[in-house]
Amino acid sequence: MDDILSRLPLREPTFFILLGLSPGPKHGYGILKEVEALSEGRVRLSTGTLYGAIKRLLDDGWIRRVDDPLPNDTDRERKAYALTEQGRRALNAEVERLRELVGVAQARIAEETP
Amino acid sequence: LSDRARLAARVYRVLLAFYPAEFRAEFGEEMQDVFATALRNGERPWRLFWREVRDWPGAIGRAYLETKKGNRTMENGSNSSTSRARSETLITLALFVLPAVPAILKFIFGYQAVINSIGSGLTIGLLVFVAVVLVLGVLKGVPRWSVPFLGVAVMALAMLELSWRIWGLFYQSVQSAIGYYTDTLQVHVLYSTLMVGFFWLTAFVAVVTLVTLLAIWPRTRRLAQTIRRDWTLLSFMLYSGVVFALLLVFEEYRYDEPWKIACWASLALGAWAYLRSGSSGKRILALLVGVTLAYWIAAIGKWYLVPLQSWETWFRWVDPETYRWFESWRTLAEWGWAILFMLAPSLLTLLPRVPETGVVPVENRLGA
Repeated sequence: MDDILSRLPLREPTFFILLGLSPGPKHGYGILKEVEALSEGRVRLSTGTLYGAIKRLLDDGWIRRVDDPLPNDTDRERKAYALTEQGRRALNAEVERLRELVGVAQARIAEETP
Repeated sequence: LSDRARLAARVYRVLLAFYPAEFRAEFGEEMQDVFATALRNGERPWRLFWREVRDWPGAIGRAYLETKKGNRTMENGSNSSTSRARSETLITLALFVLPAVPAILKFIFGYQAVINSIGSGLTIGLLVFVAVVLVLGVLKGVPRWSVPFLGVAVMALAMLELSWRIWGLFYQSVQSAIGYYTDTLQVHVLYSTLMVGFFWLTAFVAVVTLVTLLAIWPRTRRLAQTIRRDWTLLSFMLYSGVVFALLLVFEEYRYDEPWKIACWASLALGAWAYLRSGSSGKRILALLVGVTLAYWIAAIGKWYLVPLQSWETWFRWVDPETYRWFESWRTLAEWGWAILFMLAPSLLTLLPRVPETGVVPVENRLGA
């Protein structure tokens, strides 16, 4: 857990990638679209940024490769990515950190309001 | 798809070429797939392309840093990977060494009932070991250490069952065609050569069929892909079958233990050299040397052993002295067939080369 805490805060693309994978495995293009949807179009990842992040997450053991659950219209095997237990813990830790931040901010703003 | 999209895809491929080779090997193909899918799904080519260009310098820099970090980690982990490679070599070599153990016991302690029982127990243990490694290997996607186990299992099945069943359908036609019942040395030599060739052909077809079938299942597809890159793996499967074929070569023989031990040791030596060789040429050479030593030792052994046997009544068509030569010839004929079928997978090199990961042009995928 200390290892995860030392990695927080997460970069925005990393956070959205983990969040995008939390319901279930997705292939590369699925992750791109999910990140775009979650950020309401604000974060549009290039393939370079996406796969750079994927490589780091794979190396850290936060995600893993799985067989793509969706049908594939090409004749090649397509790989998808899924959150590992460690990745889910990292995501939860980041969400908790953000929640605390928002809580502190809301409390301060409430104090200042006459 | 528009010309703009095709052009964007082509330029994208040029951008990819600047990533580190390891990164491209791991993700290049997927990245091109994602880019092509985005274009197919109607994303504007130049907007997509601009996004890539915008992030390109940062992404490249991070990719180089990550690759360097990964290489350092690999160096640190080299001890564990070396020990894993050693374990895999030991598992593979066990297939070639363990069958000799009952023969070694017999050779040292002689023909005693208790030694026979221990030998039978060891043989059963070996069969269980082969079955366990085989199952584990298939579950793990048939890595290289499990390939010889697959080879020996298929070869045993083909030589014990399949070949006999098919040969049984037309052996009478072959016998009448070559005048087998004239009982001359020449027709017996011809018949034996044809029969053993047919058995090897059946084994070869069985091995190729199995690899083709395994290519259908995603978990084991990797074996066929690896064979396309390294055809000697198919030869290695056939080579492993010789472990079993030697049991048939010495079937009904007595006092054959030292010869069998020497044969299996030669095969183990060839397998060891195969696992350590870095190029296809060296690998196939290791297998050819191993199989040649094994069969020639068997042939010479038979020449010495025939007079020690008590089955002169089995052959009425030739004198005992000629029968020695006949038995040796049969073994050398099998060696010839083994060499031929072990070299046959080299024909795979005539097929178009399998593209390495990341080199399939993205514009070729667009039309898919």
